[in-house]
Amino acid sequence: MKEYPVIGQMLHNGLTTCEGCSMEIVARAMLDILGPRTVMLTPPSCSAILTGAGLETGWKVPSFMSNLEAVAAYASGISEAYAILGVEDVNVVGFAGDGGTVDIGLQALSGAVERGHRFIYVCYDNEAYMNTGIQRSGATPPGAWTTTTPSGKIGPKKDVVAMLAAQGIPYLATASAGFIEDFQRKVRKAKDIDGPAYIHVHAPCPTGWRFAPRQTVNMARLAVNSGLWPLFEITGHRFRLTYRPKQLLPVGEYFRSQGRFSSLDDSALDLVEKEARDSYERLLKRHEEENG
Amino acid sequence: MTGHKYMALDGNAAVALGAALCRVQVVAAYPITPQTPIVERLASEISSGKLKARYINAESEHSALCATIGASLTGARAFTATASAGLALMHEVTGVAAGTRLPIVMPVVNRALPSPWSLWCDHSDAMGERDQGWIQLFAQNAQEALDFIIISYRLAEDERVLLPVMPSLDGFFTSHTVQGVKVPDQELVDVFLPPYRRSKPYFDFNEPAAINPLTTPDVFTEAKRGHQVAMENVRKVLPEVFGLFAQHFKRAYSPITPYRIEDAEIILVCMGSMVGTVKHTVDLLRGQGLKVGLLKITAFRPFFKTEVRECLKYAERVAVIDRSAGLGSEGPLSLEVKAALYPDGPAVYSFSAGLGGRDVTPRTIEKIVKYTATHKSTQDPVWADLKGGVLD
Amino acid sequence: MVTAAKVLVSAAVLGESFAQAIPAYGQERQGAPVYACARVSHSPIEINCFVYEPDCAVVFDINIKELGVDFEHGLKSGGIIIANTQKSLEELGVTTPVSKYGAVDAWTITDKILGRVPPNAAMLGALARTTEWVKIEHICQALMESMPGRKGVLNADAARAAYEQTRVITF
Repeated sequence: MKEYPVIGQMLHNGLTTCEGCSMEIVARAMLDILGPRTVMLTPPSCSAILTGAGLETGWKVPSFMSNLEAVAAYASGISEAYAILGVEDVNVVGFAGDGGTVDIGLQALSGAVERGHRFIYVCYDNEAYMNTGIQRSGATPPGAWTTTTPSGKIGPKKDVVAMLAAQGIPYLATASAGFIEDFQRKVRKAKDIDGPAYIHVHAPCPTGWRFAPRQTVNMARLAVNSGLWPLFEITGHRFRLTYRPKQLLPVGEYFRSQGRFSSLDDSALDLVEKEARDSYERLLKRHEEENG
Repeated sequence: MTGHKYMALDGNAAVALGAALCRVQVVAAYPITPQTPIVERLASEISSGKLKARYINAESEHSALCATIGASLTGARAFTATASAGLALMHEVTGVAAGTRLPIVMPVVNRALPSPWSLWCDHSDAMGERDQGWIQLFAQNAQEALDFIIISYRLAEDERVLLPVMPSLDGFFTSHTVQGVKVPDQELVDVFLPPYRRSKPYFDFNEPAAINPLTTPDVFTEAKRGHQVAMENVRKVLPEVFGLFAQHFKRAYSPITPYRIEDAEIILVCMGSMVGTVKHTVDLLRGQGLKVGLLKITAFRPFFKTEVRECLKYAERVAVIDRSAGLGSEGPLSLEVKAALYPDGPAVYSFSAGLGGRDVTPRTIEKIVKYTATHKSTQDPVWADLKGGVLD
Repeated sequence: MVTAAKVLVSAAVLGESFAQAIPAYGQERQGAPVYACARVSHSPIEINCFVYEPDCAVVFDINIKELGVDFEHGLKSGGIIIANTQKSLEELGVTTPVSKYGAVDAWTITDKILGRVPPNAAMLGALARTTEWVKIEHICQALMESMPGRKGVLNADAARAAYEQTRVITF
């Protein structure tokens, strides 16, 4: 039987995240790799629950609650200050949701990446503003119900990973809360990059997506195995798929096991499946071209 | 050894030299007129290796201040500068810098806030920040602009204070006016301002803590009170720092400075670059036999209420000249002075002048004095240099 | 022009005097009339506004008169005029009674030494000669400090040449 490592020692127990929260799983897995010499930056969001309220905190590392649009800007200053102070072994980490990353935080992120500071930015993408009660973000997928898209979102999911690839960021990866070892390998790589590193983690949210909390990891794995969330990394300019499903599953199970996609009928799902297949094929081709 | 070099500098160059003399370690900034020459000069000092620091070309003023806050959290001496719309964009995070009690120094080169657009001086930008918990000093000229940078770091880093400081200098009238400035020797500044060392670091890997977290109603009031106590401590520490500065550099400053007020019937109150012109005009009017005096306000936050009251209470009339309009009410300085004199002080006349870069001339000030002398009282703020206004 | 005002302040500072130059900053058009003002004093200068009643007007280009600019505007009676011309005050149409008039052909001097650039250095030389408010040595030193190398030396040469060639009439 395969042995799984015990994870999550760098966060205290008894946190007030929702039952089945994948953001917490991601945070624990990330800090296991980064260790105690880490400064965590969280915006007002679900991750701020880890930073705590009142006199309590979840992190066993120093943390700072940033403004929603400014995680990467704070990281820039901390990173450069440690550089001038001669402190070289501290990981400066921004940990923000999709709203704080692809919407209001995009300018600061893009600026910090362009300047090339040494910091790690991990976006846990639960595809809406969950902490304020499920409002649409730029990362909400088409068709998804939120409290501000009551009849389903119109328009695509904003592809911030492609934007950062276009900026030539030294290390860029997608990851999933359902593939923790893959994520941890990526965190380990990000830690050693002498510049900005970005990891975009698909993070299912039972509260906002309307599924049973025990299904969180399954939901994350379904997205990857259906070709809806491919796992890859771009180091320098080299693209590599880090996980290849033996055969892609139909997308129906992923969509039909969540309550948020009722606006999508079967023909819409057929279209989504076709797009996912085509997109995955393109990535596979690119992977083979760049990795022999 | 004189301890300084006498140089022709504009206010912006003086500020940049001041920051370099303070050996700032991180500069994060975004260009905006009329502040830009400050950070250009610092970028050049850093690029040439003369100043050992990191320069962050932030992509906005908001990010510039966030990066400055981040740098200060590590224990580095951090600096930024801004003006007008840039300061307004920072507004969300000026509260963070102050609330987390960081000794950041951020000169503001005063420029009117839009709308309509203006490149030129008034104090509406700095006034937007008056309740954010920063110490606010107003420089009269380039010499003060330089000295206030050095003074600000010493004040901000005092553990009884630990607050950010916003020294203001008037756009163009100070920032771009070339004048003789005594630039102190590095050795003297090094003695006055030792390297910044916090007794307890913010990011302590042995005793990790969450900084600036969500703060519930059972703690929030006490956190704010701590901030207010620090502000109150400035009333004691700022005069101490001014005193120490005078010992080291032979230039004396004070939170408020009276001029010819002993027998004055009318005392003018103002701050920034117009102070010099008012002083000049007070001398002119004294020559004509008018009993006029001046109270210069250097520290606007905290406001030295008791001291202001002591200076003004024997005057017959007080004329306050604000360089911002205080739309819907009257100028902020005027409100402060009235509050300081309540309930039994002399009559206070509220004027605004010099909005959006309009030159405040001796002629305007003479009109203000004459109006104050000849009117029993004034209910409304008087826009002193308004074309077609009551003083035109 | 603005540069000249700054160099004037630098020269005064070299002489341990007090001075200020307040630029009128705005959106400028090449070739449009430019105005700059400065104050020089033996005692500290408190006043900090533009100069409306100058003791001295320095006219870098007398053609501004044709553009409708009255360079005598505000000039104190008994003040000083310095102009980049060889014309007399009468020929310039000056009506304000002045105590001194300094005339210099700054174009020719500048052209010979520096080429086609504004006559800043030459007019500063004329200013030093006519007013005696600043020393020509300090003007030259300030020019060399503001422009390192050969450019500064040539500018100082132009200032000195103008200083020597300025015709000063005292009334």
